[in-house]
Amino acid sequence: MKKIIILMFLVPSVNLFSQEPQIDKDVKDYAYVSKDGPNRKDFGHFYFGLGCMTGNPTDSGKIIPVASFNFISGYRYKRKISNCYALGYDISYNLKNYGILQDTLKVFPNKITHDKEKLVNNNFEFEVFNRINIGKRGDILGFYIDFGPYFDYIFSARFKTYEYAENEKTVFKDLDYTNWFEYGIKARIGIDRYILFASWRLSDMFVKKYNYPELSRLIIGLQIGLFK
Amino acid sequence: MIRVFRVRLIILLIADIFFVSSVSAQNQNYWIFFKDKNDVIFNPSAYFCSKAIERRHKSGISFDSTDYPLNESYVESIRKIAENLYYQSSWLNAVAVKCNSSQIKEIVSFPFVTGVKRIEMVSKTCAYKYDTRVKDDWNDLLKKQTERMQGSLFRKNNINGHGVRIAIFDAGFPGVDKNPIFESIREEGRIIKTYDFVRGKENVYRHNQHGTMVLSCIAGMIDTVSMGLATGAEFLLARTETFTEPYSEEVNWMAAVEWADKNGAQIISSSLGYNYKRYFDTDMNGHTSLVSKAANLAAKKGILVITAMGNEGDSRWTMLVTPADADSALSIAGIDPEKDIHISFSSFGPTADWRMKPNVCAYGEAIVAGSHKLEKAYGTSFSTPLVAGFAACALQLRKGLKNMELFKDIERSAHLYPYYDYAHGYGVPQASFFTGDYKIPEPTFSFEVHGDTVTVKIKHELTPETTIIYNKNEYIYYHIANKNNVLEKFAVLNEWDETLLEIPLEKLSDDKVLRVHYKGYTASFKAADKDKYQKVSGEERLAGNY
Repeated sequence: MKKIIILMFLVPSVNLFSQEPQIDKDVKDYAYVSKDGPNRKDFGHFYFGLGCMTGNPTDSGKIIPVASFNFISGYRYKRKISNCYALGYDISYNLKNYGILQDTLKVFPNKITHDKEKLVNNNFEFEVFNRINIGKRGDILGFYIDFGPYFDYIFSARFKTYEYAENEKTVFKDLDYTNWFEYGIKARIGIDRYILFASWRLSDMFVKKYNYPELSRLIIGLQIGLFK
Repeated sequence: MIRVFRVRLIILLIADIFFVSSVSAQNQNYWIFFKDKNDVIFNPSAYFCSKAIERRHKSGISFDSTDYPLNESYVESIRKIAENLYYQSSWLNAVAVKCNSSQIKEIVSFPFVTGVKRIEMVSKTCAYKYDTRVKDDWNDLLKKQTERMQGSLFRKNNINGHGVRIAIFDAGFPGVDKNPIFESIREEGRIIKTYDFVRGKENVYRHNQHGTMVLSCIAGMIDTVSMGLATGAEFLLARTETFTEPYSEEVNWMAAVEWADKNGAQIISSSLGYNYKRYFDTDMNGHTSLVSKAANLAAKKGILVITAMGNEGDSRWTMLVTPADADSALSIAGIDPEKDIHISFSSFGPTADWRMKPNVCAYGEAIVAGSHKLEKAYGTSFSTPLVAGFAACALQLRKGLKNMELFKDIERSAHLYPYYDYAHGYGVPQASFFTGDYKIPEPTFSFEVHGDTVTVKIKHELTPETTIIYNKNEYIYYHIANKNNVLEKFAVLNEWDETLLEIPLEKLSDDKVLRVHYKGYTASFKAADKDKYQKVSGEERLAGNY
């Protein structure tokens, strides 16, 4: 019985290794089958990016530009309408980290200064955009300009303070002074997978009754598309 | 204050990007096509060099209107309006100009202008540089890159491309004027002419070394060791590209082709291609791109155009680049020197209108000479000049051959012929076909039908002296072609046992053909003719009757 079982394993094994394909091509599977290239009717890709808050002269909430950043990871889809115009949508995760400048003029969230303070928002974002393509091209994204509105759902807002001498970090959750939503407009200039973006928040970050100065509305950064 | 300055700087940067792009968009490059060449007087003896006239005469190709220069009054009218008129094409009956939108509107109103086309081209040189280290095993590859084409048979017969003129189009040739690897070419005065079409000057011995590397695969000599086969050929060197990967103008390629024709080129070796940055894959049909049309025109003038398939085999593009899609261009794929089959990056055929490509193949990895040192380089950029050198030797041996006859003979000489596929074409060209050393292959397998399966079995009565072994790897090649000879499937298998292959007969319905190649022998099987199949003997191959 044992011998029969061993034989049963060996026989299919011999057939499996009788010919080893070095090349094996079904022509209909690779030749002229591409329907979803960058300049085809439908195209979507993942991307990630990093932006920085630049500060805003009309709002008095001071942030530290270097310590204030926006990390983005998302998926962007476009439907080609013509060679120079497309419509699309974008779904992304946004981490927006606002480093609060610690000085004597600080008022948000109070006048108490710490070694470090930051407001960290975790957002899901949805955006619709118009795309204008410039220049003739083959099956590539080419040179393009995107613009359109976005809407964020802030699913997590945390305020954190740090005291290095005491090795203390305090995290405040369920902030009642931040809005749970955000909206604004975005624009991008891209060459294939390399994109320069800017966003401007139209909505207020804080609930009005608290009368806090708004933090930076403008974010500028770079994105890289993840596609061949 | 600093914050305000930063925002203003960012806004200025974005505005600059728009400004630059709008300024550069004002002046564009165009082809302007003329309706006729009336009243033009043409004297071939004054225009063409003697070698060009000789080539036309041998090929039975007469001078026609495409050889006449342009109507000078038309040219002057355009020159007065355009910002810059930088090229005149006799073949296209057109001029290349740079002008703005209001100038182009004025030009279009001329009664002798039949069409206007924007020139915007992105090209790639087909080089895939991988390793620049000097390794101990380079000597083996250096020998094999010519020996795989049986280069020793040419050398034994003192055949080195002597008297054949090859034009090379590339991104620059630094070091060719100084590198000892090209010393014999220089000392014997076999660089006939050079021209830099990018800068409009004669000096091509600058810029990107890609062209130097390509030339070394045709005619480089390391002491007495040949890097290519045509070490005795003559050369026309043209710089048509600005820098490696990716930008160039189509007009430079066009200009170089007409210049090569005028200066007697018999072979053009072009390791350049245009891909997804300008076209869709469905444009690879041999008549969409201007360079493809130019390659076909060059063939009509009697020149054998040899061009690279491209290095998109493992990218999303996958397919050949243009002008490899041109019907009359000999398109060269790359193979791996160790495995002796398709190298992963080599682009696949067929063309978008389902014509067979590539035509043949050669090593896609080679030892090349850069401007300062030897390197190991990868790309169909280097399989192309290896075949160009082969073609020059074949032409030296068979002087009476016309370009398309040479084209067909190179295909017939290849090691898999008459078998073909969309990775290898007909295989690697073999010198024995031209030197008379060709051995007629004996059958190495047979077909047997058992029930609903056709089996391919090794013939045990093989004898070493009649079996052609090209390499240590024992591969079985097979394809299934439809009734229009378009392949539906192709594969390369390792031989493992007596039964080489089994195919269900249902896969051969509707007049499909199963074609198998093993150890130099090719045979076909059709389901309708279970007891008979086509065989190709050595006599049929030499007569070209297959």
